[in-house]
Amino acid sequence: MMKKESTLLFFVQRIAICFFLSISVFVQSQTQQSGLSADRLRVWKDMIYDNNIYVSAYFGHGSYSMNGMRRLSKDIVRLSGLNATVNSDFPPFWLYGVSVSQTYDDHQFGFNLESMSTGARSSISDYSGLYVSDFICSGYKLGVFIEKDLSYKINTIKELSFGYRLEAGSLASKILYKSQVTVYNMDQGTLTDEFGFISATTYIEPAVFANWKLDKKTFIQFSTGFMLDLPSVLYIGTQSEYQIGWAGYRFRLGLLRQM
Amino acid sequence: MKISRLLFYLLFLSSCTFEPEGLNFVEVEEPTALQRFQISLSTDEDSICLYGPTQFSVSLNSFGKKLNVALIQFYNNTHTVDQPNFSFTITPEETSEWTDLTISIYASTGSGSIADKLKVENYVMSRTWKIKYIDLSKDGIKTGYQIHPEGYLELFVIPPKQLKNKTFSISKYGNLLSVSRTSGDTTFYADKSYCSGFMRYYFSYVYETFKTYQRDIEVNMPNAELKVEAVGIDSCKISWSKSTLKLYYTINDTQYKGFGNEFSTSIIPNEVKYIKLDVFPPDYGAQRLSSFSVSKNFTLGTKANYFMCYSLVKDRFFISKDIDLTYLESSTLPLPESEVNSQYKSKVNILCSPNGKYIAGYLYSQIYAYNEDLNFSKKINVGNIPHYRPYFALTNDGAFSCLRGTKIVIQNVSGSADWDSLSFVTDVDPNPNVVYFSQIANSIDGRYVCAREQNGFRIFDVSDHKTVSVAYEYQGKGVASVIAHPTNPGLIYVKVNGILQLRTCPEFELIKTIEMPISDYYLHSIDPYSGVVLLMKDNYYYFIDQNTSRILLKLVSGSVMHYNVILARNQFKMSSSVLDLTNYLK
Repeated sequence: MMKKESTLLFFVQRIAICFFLSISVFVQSQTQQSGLSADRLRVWKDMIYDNNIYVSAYFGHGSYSMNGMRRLSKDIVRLSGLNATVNSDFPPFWLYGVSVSQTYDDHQFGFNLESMSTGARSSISDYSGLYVSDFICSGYKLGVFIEKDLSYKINTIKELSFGYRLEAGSLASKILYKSQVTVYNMDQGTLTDEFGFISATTYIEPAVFANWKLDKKTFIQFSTGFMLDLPSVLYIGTQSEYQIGWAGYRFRLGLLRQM
Repeated sequence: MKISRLLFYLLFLSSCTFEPEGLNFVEVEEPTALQRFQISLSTDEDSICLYGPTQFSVSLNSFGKKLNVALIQFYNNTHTVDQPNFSFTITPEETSEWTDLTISIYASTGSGSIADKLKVENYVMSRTWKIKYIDLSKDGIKTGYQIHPEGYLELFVIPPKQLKNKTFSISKYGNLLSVSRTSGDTTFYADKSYCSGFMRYYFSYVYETFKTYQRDIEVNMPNAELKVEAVGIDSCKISWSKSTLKLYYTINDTQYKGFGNEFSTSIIPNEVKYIKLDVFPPDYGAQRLSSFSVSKNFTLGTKANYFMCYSLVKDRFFISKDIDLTYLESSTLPLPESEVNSQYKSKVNILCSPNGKYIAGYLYSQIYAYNEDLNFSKKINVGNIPHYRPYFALTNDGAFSCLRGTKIVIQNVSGSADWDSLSFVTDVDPNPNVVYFSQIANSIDGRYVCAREQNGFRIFDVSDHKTVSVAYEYQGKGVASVIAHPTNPGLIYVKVNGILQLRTCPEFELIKTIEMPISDYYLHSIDPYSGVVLLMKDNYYYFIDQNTSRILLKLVSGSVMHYNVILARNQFKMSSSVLDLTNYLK
């Protein structure tokens, strides 16, 4: 399963890179058509010809509201009638991501690709059998961001810089549900159930960051923020609806490299 | 750091997605192994007969345990219910085999375990009944009959168990029989009028609307068999097979009435006694007609519708069996009672010579002559011979003598060419209404003819069968009758002045006087075999031992024609029967 998901993630990331390049070509073509100012054209000229590009890879930790999924998990357990208790309930969990940005006019403009996951488990077992209900939620967001370095105003430490960052984009969610009922001492006493679905929505995340310069082109970057998303809705039947919400704080620590 | 390596690390990290873990274990007490259950079906029977779609109600008691499911299985059907009280309907299949109805209970153990909550941990109980479809149009209802202890016929109907509708009817000749009693499931119908023989009763049962099941109940109890057997020679016992029913019997309407099966009555020799047995139901007085009647004729001795004669020399009887003059030689009498023998109906009377060499049958004006080998020799026309006359004689020389009017006619049946016939006139009484026995007698050698005439007694010498001369003459009416000695040609029995005497022939010299215990009798004949003298007086035959003068036997003569009576070898033949008197003439 892990190998399968890794392959999927790799595939999504490749699509993101293609998307990024496509956006670049699209912006360039739009600029030519609408007659943008010479300043804007200069930005792209600097990006391409001055090689003022930064690439970042990071990991982090985030919390995820997942109120709807939490309610769905409880409903499923309740409907099973087996009084399963919670082992995990969509806890904060690690996240990972990469970004590419370009400095222009004291701002960083870039794209960010991030993967996050969380989940839940309810279970019960006794002498007669066991019951496990699992939710595994994965989120993949692709957004654009802008960073503003404010350290030049109160810069006391040469290697340290900090500022704020604003990011928005699309968020794809993959929800996987698995359950297992096993009754001992019974032929064919194990029943499993599994289903999954995918949804997409938008998000916005304001954050602040701090960079510590390691050498001329390499930085350690720490950022924290709070992500807000427009929850996508999962319908069970025609009456019940459950929202998929990834809102929550974010802590990230990564490595930034000027290319 | 190369981009490819960076991407590799990113991919590695991104593969570490959230994986839930942990398992909550709960201590639950395991249930006990046994649990009490009770299943109540709407019938108490373990083997259930179905006569059509049948509804059953079921009540389950799991004694506090929650019923998860109950399975009802019959034929190839399975129904499930989850209520402790429910009903279901079985539509039987067209099979006559017993099959199973099974109800299985799956009840929660109540342990609260996962398996219990999933209803797969159950106390299980199963109970099976046997079910069978009975097609009432073919099977199921038992009918029959029996005899009530009081002795009348009872028809009964035993319905199959669990049959609710028990409206039956039994009819006889279209009339319904009423129910006489019931015992358990059995319904009885009494028919007190039935006595014997074949009777068909109609049983019907309406088991569904417009569906009637009908059956015949056939009763065929044997009719009474009438049996009559002689008891001695003066009475007979009438008996009949007694029915297992209590029946009322009558003999000849009034001679016997009762419930027994035996009755004795007197009978005289040669009497054809008509016996009619009527069978009535026990309530005889209420019955006008008997339900069965049987009758038969009975005669003492052995039936003998034939003529016969006896030769002492050959100690043999000759029998004329039929009108075709086919003779049967027999050494014993009577002929055994058989279906064939009883059909003999001879009209030809026969005589045989004492030596058995000649046999002659006579009918009307014809004489049929046979030799000792029963071969026909010739037929002779002798004119009209009055059969009511008791005089016929066939002597050892082949001379057949008879009386025509007052003339004695002697015909040669021997085949000898020396003579043909001889006749001469006597003075015997020609009145055909006067029938005296022993008025004429031939000596057994054929040489003499003795005749008791109106005015005397004469012995004629016919030795050469060509001429006649008087060898002896007795004047007056002192000699009343004469009989030739059956073995000695030189002797005759005569009754002289009321006294039986043995005299020589033709000299008529007295040999001896034979005392008779009775007087005023008629001399009939003497048995050549035993010498017993047969006398007639009033309506009786007397059998006298001439040596002791003792009456050996006395029999009622009845209306028998005396000239058809023969006593030979202790066999007493009357017109149609033969009595063996061996045991009585000692």
